[in-house]
Amino acid sequence: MTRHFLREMEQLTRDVMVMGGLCESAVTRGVKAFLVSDHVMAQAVIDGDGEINALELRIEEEVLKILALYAPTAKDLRYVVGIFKITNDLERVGDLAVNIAERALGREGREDREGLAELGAMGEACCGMLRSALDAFVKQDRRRAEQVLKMDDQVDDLLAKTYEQQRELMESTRGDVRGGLLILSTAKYLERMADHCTNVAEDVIYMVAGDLVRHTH
Amino acid sequence: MRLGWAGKAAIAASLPVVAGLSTFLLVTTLRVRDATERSLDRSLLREAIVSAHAVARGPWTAGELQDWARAVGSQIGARVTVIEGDGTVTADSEVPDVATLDNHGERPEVVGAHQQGTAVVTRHSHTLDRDLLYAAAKVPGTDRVVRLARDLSTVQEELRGPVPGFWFVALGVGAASILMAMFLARGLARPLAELTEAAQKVEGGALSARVYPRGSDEVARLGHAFNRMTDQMRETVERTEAEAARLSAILEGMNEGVIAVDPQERISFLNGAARSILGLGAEPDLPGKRIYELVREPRILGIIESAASGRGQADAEIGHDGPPRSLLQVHAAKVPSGVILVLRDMSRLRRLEQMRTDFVSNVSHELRTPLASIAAAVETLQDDAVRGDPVEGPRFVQMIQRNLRRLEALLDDILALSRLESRPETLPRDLIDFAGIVRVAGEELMERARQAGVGLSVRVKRCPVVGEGATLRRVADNLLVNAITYTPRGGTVDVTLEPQDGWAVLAVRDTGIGIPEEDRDRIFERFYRVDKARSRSAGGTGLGLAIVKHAVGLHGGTVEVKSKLARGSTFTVRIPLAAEPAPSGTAGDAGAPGERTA
Repeated sequence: MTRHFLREMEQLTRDVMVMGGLCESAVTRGVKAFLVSDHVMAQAVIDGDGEINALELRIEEEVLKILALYAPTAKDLRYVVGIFKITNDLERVGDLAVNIAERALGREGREDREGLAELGAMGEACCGMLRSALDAFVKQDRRRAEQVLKMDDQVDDLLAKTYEQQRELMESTRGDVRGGLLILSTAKYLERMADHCTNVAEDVIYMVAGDLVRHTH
Repeated sequence: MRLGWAGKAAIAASLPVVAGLSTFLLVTTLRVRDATERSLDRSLLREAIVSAHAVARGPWTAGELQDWARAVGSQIGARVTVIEGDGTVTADSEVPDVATLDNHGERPEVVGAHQQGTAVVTRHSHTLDRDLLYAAAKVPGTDRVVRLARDLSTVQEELRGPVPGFWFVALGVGAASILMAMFLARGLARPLAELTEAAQKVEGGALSARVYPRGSDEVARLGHAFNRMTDQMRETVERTEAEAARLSAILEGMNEGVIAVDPQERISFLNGAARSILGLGAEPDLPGKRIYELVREPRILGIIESAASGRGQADAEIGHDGPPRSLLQVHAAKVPSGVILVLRDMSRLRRLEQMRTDFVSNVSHELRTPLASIAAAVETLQDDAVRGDPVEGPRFVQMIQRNLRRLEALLDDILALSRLESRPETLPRDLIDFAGIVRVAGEELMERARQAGVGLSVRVKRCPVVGEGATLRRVADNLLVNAITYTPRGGTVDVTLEPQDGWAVLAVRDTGIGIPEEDRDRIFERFYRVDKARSRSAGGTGLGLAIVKHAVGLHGGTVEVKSKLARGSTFTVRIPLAAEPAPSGTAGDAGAPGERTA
């Protein structure tokens, strides 16, 4: 039974990593599609979300199977339950990437607008957070997970800055309200994405140490 | 204590000896006892018969009979009893009052004597309460019986134990046989122990371990065989190790990343290129980790999966989102021990392809521009009115001439560049003085600097280098012309050449317009221009610095640039100094510089 259990756990980890990899790729490409108005890439991100959702269902099924068959305890239990929650957050990250890609489809021909640089930086920060959170998960590394929590502030600052910048732009006469709204909503999606990455990192800390750090920082 | 092989052999060998000996001694003892008892029986019986005959001489009175019995009894050391036919005792050597004795007619020996004349019986005497030997004989002519009884206990006591010294002999023989067996076994065991020790050393990795067998018995032959086997093993291991070292050197030296994973997707090998392609840096203990812990790219994992599931080889070209971002060609093949993954970084190749395409289109473009001007001028000159015009006519001829020179300069540079790129080994290796070359270049450009209103100063020290004079001259020319061209009227160009730590260091400082930071890395690319309009009007081909970089590289040197916008730039060329001093006068043979003035 132990061997079966270990094999199932490995398969579970692998599936989470594949799902994480798909999310990383979706976020990177979604943000890039928005920045350079690449409709083909945006459509690819939207089409790819089905795979992420299918993986979520599969992982949930695996988790339930492991809970029912092996009744894991202590660290194993935390690990399995943590995966259950991480999967949920990853699926939301994938959805947000789709939302960004949809905004990219709406950005026809509007190149070189102020605020894109900040958006790019936010995108980079989000990808970095997602990457670090997944690394922290696969290595079960508490320190790395804690770094993710710190990175979240950076994204919040960038959102505030973008908000201020776009408000000023829209208030001025040369303001392009439609473009500004696209940027603002995308920035908001990125900020939410960062929150989900934070959740993943918190779940990793819970898995490793059994500490609940949610709502404490 | 553990019984060794020798101890066991000794015991095994001596056990039958001891057992046999003991059996023999016991059997002997029993037979001796038996014979003794039988002879006792017989002698007592004979005494009884004699006594019976003595009694037959009677008739004696009861008193006489009693006295006789006591006398005989004490003489022969036995109890003598005379029993009548009805069983009453009439005389007894040890019981004076025979009336107290009960009837002896039913005693087995008495019954036997009545029936056969004599009888011998060993039985327990109730009277004396011990084991006695009884012999009875019928007195001839009467129905009286004379019975003798003798106490056997002392004799039996003596016969009960084994032969005296039996235990000493048994122990002695046993010990001796054990010792001898041990001695023999030790002789067998010592070489075996040596063999064991050597085998353990080999097991621990000391393949040079040997045994030194004596004699030519079976164990010695085993020892020789062991030595041969170890020799062969060492050879095999050395060959395998060399093979492995060679393989790993090959794998490490490859540009392609190679990763081997086992069926559980655990990494069993990964080379340096794979580390750098996947951006793993110096992350420790990679072998043993699962591939998905390091690479999350779903397409790479998918390729491994499909290769592992036996669908043969799998290929894909993947834009790896990173880090680091790159275009990867991934090839996975199933092998008995898992899956081998070969990663090829295609981004460099793509960049090179792009550069080549760019170069071709740049060259075409650069050649087309002067050609178009020439074509236009020729077409205009076909008009007689223009050709005859004293002002317009020469103007168009000059235009043709100017563009022809430009074409010439371009082709000259392209050829120079292609020569430098394609056949570096044909570059002559002469010992020359770089200082002479730079000095001549400076002198020839002095007039041009004066026309541009730029102060040119050249200070050189002797710097012998190995290389080609014409190529180095082109380096100096291109750097100086560039500096003069991009320095506004009133500025200065300062050229110094001096030996420094084994390098000839040529520094060209100008007080010109400078180079923006973002362009600094790219100015050595072919046809790259910071300011396109200005550069072309200044007569540059866009290849000058590319030629400088290539030429310096072929001489084993480096070129770098420092610049501040609106303050000036400094180009520094370093070429390794030759070991021997250059003979003077070789500097003058530098090829003519390309015509760059418009």
